[in-house]
Amino acid sequence: MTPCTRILSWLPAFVGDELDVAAAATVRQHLRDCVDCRRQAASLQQARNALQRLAAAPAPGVDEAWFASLQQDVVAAVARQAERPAPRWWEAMRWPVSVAAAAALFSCGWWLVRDDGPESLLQRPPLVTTVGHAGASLGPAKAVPWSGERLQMQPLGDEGGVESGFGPGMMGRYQLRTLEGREWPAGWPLPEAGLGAGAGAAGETPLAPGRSTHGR
Amino acid sequence: MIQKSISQLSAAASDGGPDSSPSGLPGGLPRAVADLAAAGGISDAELVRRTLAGQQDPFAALVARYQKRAFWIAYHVVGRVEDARDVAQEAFVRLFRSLAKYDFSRSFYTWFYRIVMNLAIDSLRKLRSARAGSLDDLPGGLADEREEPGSAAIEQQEQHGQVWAVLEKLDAKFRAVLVLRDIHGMSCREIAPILGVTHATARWRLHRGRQVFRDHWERLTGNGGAQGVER
Repeated sequence: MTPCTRILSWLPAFVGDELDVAAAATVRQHLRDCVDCRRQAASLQQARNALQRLAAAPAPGVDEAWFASLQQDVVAAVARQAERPAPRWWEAMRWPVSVAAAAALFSCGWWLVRDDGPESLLQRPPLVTTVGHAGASLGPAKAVPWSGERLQMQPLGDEGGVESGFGPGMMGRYQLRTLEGREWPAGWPLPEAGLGAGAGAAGETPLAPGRSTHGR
Repeated sequence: MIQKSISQLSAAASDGGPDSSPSGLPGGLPRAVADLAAAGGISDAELVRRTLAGQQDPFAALVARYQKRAFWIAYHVVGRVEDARDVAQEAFVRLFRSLAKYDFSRSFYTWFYRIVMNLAIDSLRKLRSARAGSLDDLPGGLADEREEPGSAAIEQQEQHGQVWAVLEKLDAKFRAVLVLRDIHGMSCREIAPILGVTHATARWRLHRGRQVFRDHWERLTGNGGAQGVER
């Protein structure tokens, strides 16, 4: 922050005499040397002076007699207010009851027209699909869960003897490796083996412990 | 009890009352009310307490004490005599209605000015949305025809008109803080509770309000601050 930036941010308070003594002295010192800031301060001061002069400006038609009539009007208005009978209980309850009725009406309407819509993907049964080598014959059908624990993709090429049909590229090296060893979630439909050509050639049981999804 | 006391007061005021204005008291007040209003030893809180206890004059004394300040604050915020009068009157009615809720540990005038300011800002917003731009709607109203202004007075009136025009361009929240600080001379510590904001917010609004006012003022008057600053 340059000295001018800091001083300019203080000027509105400076012209209103609202800065502490030290800050005001800093501003005053700076204004002695800086023409631009001095001009800014002068314009703020002039505008403020014009505003302050409004305090002494009379309002048209307002004088002591006018205030006397205002006093009478105020007292009369307060008297009318005081004479007004106290609101009956149902009048006092009018607003709360109205709000409660509107809320109840809205709730009923919402219940009638609401659309359940499709359930969340996370609550659906798993999608039955096939996994296996990219480019190789499809492996047995597997159920890939929509939800639940995320499985790590593992590079196949790092394991001895495992090669992808597509070679070492991204498509070939990274596969959804396995679901084996995991509990089949209760209530999920068992996947059908043999989806697609060549699928299920090994006749594997899905999620069988110790079996790969890659037809190894 | 309050209702009874105010009814008695109203009757006394409308009938002229036994002690009313022939005595030449300022504002045509009954002597007891004028004495109460002028008594420095009787605080506002004490007047509230007496009103709540059912006495008839203390509320009228509160009106006498505060009606001018209420009117002028409302006038500088709203910009029209009739509307400012309505605001002042409504503020006293609301004050009376909520007198029983007054927190005696707090300043009376802050509480009352807050009522006035809220009503004035509401009135300003309604006025702005309804304003059709006729001559009658100019802020500050027309000049008092009973005066015969000389050239200096004409110049003064012209400048006041320019100030009103600039105030008219300001957002209500800036206008309110400028009116309270620069016209009515209140401190930011007094202004904050009246506007229902923190001290820091009041200071920021004042800071920003002065800059915005200055920008509009320069645009309107073509005056870029050629003179030096005196402080």
